[in-house]
Amino acid sequence: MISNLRGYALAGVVMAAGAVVLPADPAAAVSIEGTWKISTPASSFTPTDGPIPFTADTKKQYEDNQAASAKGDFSFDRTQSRCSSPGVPRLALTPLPFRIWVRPLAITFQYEWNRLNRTVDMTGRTFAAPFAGPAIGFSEGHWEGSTLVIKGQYFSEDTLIDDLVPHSDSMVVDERLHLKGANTLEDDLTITDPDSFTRPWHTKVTYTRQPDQAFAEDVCLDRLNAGQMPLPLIKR
Amino acid sequence: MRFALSRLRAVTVGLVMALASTALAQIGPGGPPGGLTPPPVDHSFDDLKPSPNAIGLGGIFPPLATPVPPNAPQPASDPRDLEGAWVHTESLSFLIDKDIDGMRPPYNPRGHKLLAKRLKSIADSKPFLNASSTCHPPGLPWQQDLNFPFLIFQSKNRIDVLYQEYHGLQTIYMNPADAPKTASYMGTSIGHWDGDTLVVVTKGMKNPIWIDVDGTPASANAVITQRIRKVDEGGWSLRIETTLDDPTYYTHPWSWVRDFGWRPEDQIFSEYDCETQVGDKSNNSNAGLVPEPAADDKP
Repeated sequence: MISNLRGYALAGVVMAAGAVVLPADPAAAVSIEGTWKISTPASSFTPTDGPIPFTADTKKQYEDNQAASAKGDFSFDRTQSRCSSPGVPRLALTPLPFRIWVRPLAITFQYEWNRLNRTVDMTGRTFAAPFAGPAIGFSEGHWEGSTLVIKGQYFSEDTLIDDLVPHSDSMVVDERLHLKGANTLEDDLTITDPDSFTRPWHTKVTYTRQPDQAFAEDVCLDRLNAGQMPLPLIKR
Repeated sequence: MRFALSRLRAVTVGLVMALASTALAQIGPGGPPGGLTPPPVDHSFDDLKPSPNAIGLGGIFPPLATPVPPNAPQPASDPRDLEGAWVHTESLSFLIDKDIDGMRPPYNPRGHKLLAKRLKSIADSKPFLNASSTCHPPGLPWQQDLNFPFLIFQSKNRIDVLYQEYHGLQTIYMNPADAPKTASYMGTSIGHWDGDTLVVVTKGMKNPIWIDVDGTPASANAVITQRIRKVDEGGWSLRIETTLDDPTYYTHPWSWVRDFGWRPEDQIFSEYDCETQVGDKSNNSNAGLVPEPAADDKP
């Protein structure tokens, strides 16, 4: 219900602003539209600038998660134990295809996994901090040439960054999505969370363009109730 | 045009009934000796009243009243381009108890019995579990009728409809050869254009569905036909006429109409994560709802 009220409040922000701001060059966005799938499936992000700079408390929580996972106890992970949304940035590791729809007011990420979606606000407005953040947080975006730049913030602290790494509700995720050729998409991510890490850290994920076809009706709870893992476990 | 004629019929029927009521009131209870005798009051549908929660509220979610910003994008001028964000702008009816002509849905005895049982379960504060309460795709038209936005994206051979609630997805196949052969919660939707009206036939549900909050039934064998067109009546809407053909529970097909307003600002979906509660096995995730007795809907 809170998220629903938030939706109404956000609509109000647009109304209060009295104007809808369109991106400078919507045509630049067309090329990333399409269906994509992670090129190298993974459960975890691989930092590109050294080890993850954990604070001491976060390191302890991470190691606890590691130990629990090794014993098959996923109670620390609401996605693996309940099918809750993996949220941002973990959705960047989604094992199933996803589709990007580019439209003037919003860019929609449509995931085959459990039929999830995430929208990036392209109107240029700013968000007020919510009472409680959702798993996907709030994402605002703009174009820098043909690179889609997204700032995500106001996340729930109940999600994980990937299969093991915790974060706080202070986390900010900056993303830069750009093509590396017609059929390869790269997402450069920067994780900033002073409550969990001693400095911002970086990672990147690469996707391969897929044929355009309908997504199957994926119902995670059915898979969970059948004894299957909601997300595949891929060893680091 | 058909809708307008139907509304006219409904109004006409209402006027005739009101005049008849006035005449009976003038006669008085029982009527004068030797005069007209009022017809007996029909109590056969007393068990099909909407659930108490709906009375006086007009539905749980009132329509959004915020106007569309003056410089907001408008729908495409092409009547066959339905892309954008749309929201059911009428109050949500807990019970769809009127058809397009204002008449009672044509329940057969089995449908009547099942709906009455569901309404009684609500009145008894022991409502039955359903797809919505278990965080599963609820099927059409429930998925559309909730007053939350949905997004339409059109491709050459396919229309994807993304719903905020239940993070729902309906795929409309414009090429029947592309459609899956297996049953699904939402069923398989196949579309074609009839002039500027998109006609979508949905069938092949893996389970029976509830078509509204109170539990008006549709079997897994139901065929749901929706005629969808864009209309501008001082503001853009999608007008969807839904026809339910389901001999399991109804004596003949019946139809109703809903309008869904153009809401470009609602492209920014709020998160819907029912799995957080329903998937938590450490709690009683049924939230007081009880399983519906199986195979108990025979007349």
